Order: sequence, then structure tokens, then C-alpha cells
Amino acid sequence: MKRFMAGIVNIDKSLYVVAGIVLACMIVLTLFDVILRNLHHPITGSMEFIQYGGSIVFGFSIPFGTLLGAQVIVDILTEKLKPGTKRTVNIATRCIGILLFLFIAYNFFLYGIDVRHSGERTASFKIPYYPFSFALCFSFLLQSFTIFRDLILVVKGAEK
Amino acid sequence: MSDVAVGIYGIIVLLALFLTGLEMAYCMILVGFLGFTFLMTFPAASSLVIKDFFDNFTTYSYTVIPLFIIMGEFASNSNVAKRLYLGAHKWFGHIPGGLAMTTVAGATAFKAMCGSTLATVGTFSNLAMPEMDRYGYRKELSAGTIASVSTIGMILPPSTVLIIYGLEVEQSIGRLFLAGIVPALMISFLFMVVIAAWVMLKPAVAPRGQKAPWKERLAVIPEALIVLVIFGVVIGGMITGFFSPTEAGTIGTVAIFILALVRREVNPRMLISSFNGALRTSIMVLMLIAGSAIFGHFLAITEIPMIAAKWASSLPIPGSMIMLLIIAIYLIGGSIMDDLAFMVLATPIFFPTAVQLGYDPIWFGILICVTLMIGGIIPPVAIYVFILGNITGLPFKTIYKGVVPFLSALVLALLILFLFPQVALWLPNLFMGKG
Repeated sequence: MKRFMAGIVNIDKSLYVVAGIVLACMIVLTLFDVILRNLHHPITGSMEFIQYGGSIVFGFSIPFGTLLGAQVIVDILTEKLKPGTKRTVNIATRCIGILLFLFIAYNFFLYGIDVRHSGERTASFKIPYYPFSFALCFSFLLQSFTIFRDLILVVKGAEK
Repeated sequence: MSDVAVGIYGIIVLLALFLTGLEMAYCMILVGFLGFTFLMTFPAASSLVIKDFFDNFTTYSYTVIPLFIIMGEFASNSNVAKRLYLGAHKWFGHIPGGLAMTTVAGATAFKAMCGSTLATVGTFSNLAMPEMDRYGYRKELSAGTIASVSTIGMILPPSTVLIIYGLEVEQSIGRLFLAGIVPALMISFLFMVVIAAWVMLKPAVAPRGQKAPWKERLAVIPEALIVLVIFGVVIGGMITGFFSPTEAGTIGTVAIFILALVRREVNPRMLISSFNGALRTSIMVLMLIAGSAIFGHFLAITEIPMIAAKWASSLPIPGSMIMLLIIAIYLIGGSIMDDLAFMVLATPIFFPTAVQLGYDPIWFGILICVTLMIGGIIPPVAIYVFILGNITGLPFKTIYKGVVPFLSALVLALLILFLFPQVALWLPNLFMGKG
């Protein structure tokens, strides 16, 4: 179990690093596009790269973002609960989160298969859509594992 | 059961789920999905969830969010705030309450480069609080000033909240940014008036500081000019159509990065911290937007927003009363949950009503942002007070006590904006014509 927990964190972190690198690439590309556009040599398809780069930035930040607590919660009521009740509520909400993201990951997988068969591609570079869909599927699957890790911690008695 | 009844139950279940401590974005996805399943079909609801996520994550205009956030992260993690604060100190430090006024001026200038309000409270807690302690300022004044002035970032460009509002209701971000400038400066001025009045009534709360020689005062002007130039290029480029908002965010980010590079403030730690902060905030915002889109689609098929808008406009009471009611809802919502999250959730519901009543969408955006500024510093969930309390270790009671006089300035600003929409609309109409 220890290896599983550490493995989840490592994969989450790796995706987060990839998201950061893609964000840095987006900044550089947009900068060069603005400069070259004024020299009448715009970078063809830069918007498309930014657009789909955005999906990697957002999608790949979800699992590690969750570990860092990048989600808004309303805790005015749960903070006032007794430790035991709070733990039970935490377990219930973690279970809902796991099921929700497993469901989303599964549907993203189906969507990926769908767009792969239909052959949908981006307008400029004709990049197929399905890799983005599968990438998001992987990210959401990892998100459910991340919440599962959280659940294990709650069950073991650690604070959420 | 009618569609409207299902929608109302959906809203009630959503609010109940919020109280369980389940993440707000998950609550909106879940209720939106279940509601859509109930009214349509399970496959249609599954498809809606995936489509909304995919569309939100691959929309070009949403890439503006991480780019403006990272601009603010670079500004926070370099010494920009410190230089601005010390510069303002030279000008205001010697007058009664001058250090508190310095905090207002420094934080307002810093906000012109940093879109994150939470970054401001963090930065200025560490920067201004020890300085005011050193000069013997009463904790209520120093803490109240920092907590209150941090909210200004909600309307001063490049405000993340305004960007999200603009994307959500499809309004020009350039217009919104311009509309935020005058109200933000007005609130800064009102804060300074509050400080001056407080010190006049109780001189002991803020002992007078040393007067800086003119040579030192003039020496800090270039720092303010650099901020003005970056602000001018980013906002000016957007309103003239020279840059898209995404490009404006990139140019601002690169400008601050180069500034930090020249000053040898760039190091691996600063870069990692900036990217980490940008990704973390961006995904928090995007998950809220995706959740709100799913919940919003469910509400749209119940037709609640449209029915509410028609109903509100047919009521035999003035539109201004309905607007006051909407403001009250935002005030309550913003004070019990995260202001940004509440705005993302509530705007699709109330925006059609405001438009139906004939109010300007840009003005409405600024008005609700000022309302949320108030919500951010009043109990029970006063996020700025919490952060300041956690950083400084001050009791919340002391901070709340300090915030009260500044609340009067915010309420006055809200009233002025409500009665005179031109305060917000004058600048966008001047530069971009009537919308």
C-alpha cells in the first residue's frame, strides 16, 4: 500500500511538471507569435497549439492540484462536527469523488474511441482529437486514485 | 414534477451538498449530471459532462487564466511588491497614518501587475505588517488596512475575477478591465480617507514616521513608472485590439520576468514557485468553471434563469429594488463561501435578470465584484481575514475590529457605483465606445 500511495504522488507530480512545461511553451510560442505577426510572419496554427496545450495544462494539473488542496470547499459546517462524525462525512465525500471521477474517466475513454473512429481532427495541423481525450481520461483516472489515496489517509485517521 | 421544480430541488440539493465539505466543483458536476439525467436521459447527461469538460479545457479564451495568473505569480515572487511598498513609504511615511496609506498605495500599485487578491494579502502581511509594528501602529489599523486593501485586486486589472466574469457572460475583458480602474482607485482613495479620519480621531493608533528627503522620494519614481508602463502596455494592447487577452497576459508575464531577470531575482526556486502557484490556481478556477457549465446546462433546460428574469422584470417594484436583492444574495453568498466560487455559481442565474432589467452587463460585473469584496472580509467566511490571521498569528477578533471602518468605505463605494453607473462605465465608453 505504501508503494501504491507513493506511486500515485509521483505520477501526479510528473503530470504536473509536464503541465508546467507546456505552460512555459505556450508563453514562449505566444510571445514569438506576437513578435513575428508584427513582422508579417505569424506562426501558423499557434492558436491551435495554445488551445490544445491548454487542455494539457488544465487536465494534467488536476491530480497534483488536488493533493495541493486546489479545490474550493465550504467547511463552515464540517469544521464544527465532532471528529468521528467529521471522519464519516469525509469518507462519504471521498467515495463520491472517487466514483464521480471514475465515471468521468470511463466516459472520456468512450469519447476517445468515438472521435478516433469518426476521425475528427484540428483545423490547422489536422491533429486527431482522440489523444487529448485519452490524455484527459488518464488524468481523471489518476484523479480518482488520488482521492482514493486521500480516503486511505482519512480511514487511517490522518486529517483530510 | 415540472422542470422548474426539478431545477429548484437541484439548487437546494447543491447547497446542501456544499455543506458536506465535498469540493464545490464536484458538487456542481454531480447535481448537474443527476438533474440532466432526470430531465433528459442518462446517455445525454454522460455526454454533457464529457462535452463540457472537453470544451472548457480546449477553449482558447480560457488560456488567458493561467497566463494572467502566472504574471501575478512572477510579480509576487520577485521583489516588485517590496520596491513599490518602500517607494510609497518615502512619499507617505511621514504623514499621520502614513504607513497604512503606504500599504494602500503600494498594494494598489502591486495589484496593477498581480491579478491574484490572495497573493496580495500574503505578500503585504509579510511586508507591511512588520514595518507598521516597528513604528508602533495599533494592530487593528495595520491588520484592517492589509485585509481590506487586498480585496481591491478583485476589480483592478488584471483581475482574475473580472476575466472569469467576462468569459462566463461573454463580455469584453478589455471593457471590464477599463471599467474596474476608476472604482478601484476610488476605493483606494476612500481607504486613505478612512485611515486619515481614524488617525485624526485617535492619533495614538499611528505614530508619525520620518520624513524622507525629496531626493529619495524622486528616486523611487522610476519604479512606479515601470509598473505604469507594463500596465499600460497590457491593458492598452488589449483595448486597442493589438493583443488578444491571452497574448496580453503573455506579454505582461514576459515583461515582469525580464524585469526580474535584469534585477537578478530569477532563480529556480522563484520559477518553480511561480509555475506551481499558477497551475494550482488555474485548475481550481477551471474546475469551478467546468462544474458551473455542467450545472448551468442543467439549469438552462429547467429554464429557471430565463423564467426568473421574466418574473423579476414583471414585478410591480422598481428594477433597482431587484438589483439590491441580487446584491444582498451575492453579499450573503460571498460571505459564506469563496467569493470567486460563488460568482461562478450565481452569475449564470442572476445575469439574465440584470440584463432583462436593462442594466449594463459591464456595470453589473463591477457591482457584484465590489459586493464580493465586502463578502471577502465579513464573517463567517472572510478569506482575507483568515489568511492574514494565519500568517501574522493575530486573533481574528482584532482583524475584524480593524476591518469595520474600511467596510464603511466599501459600502459607500458600492452605493456610489449603484447610483452612478458612469463611475464604472465612463472609461470603457471613452476608449472603446458605447457597448
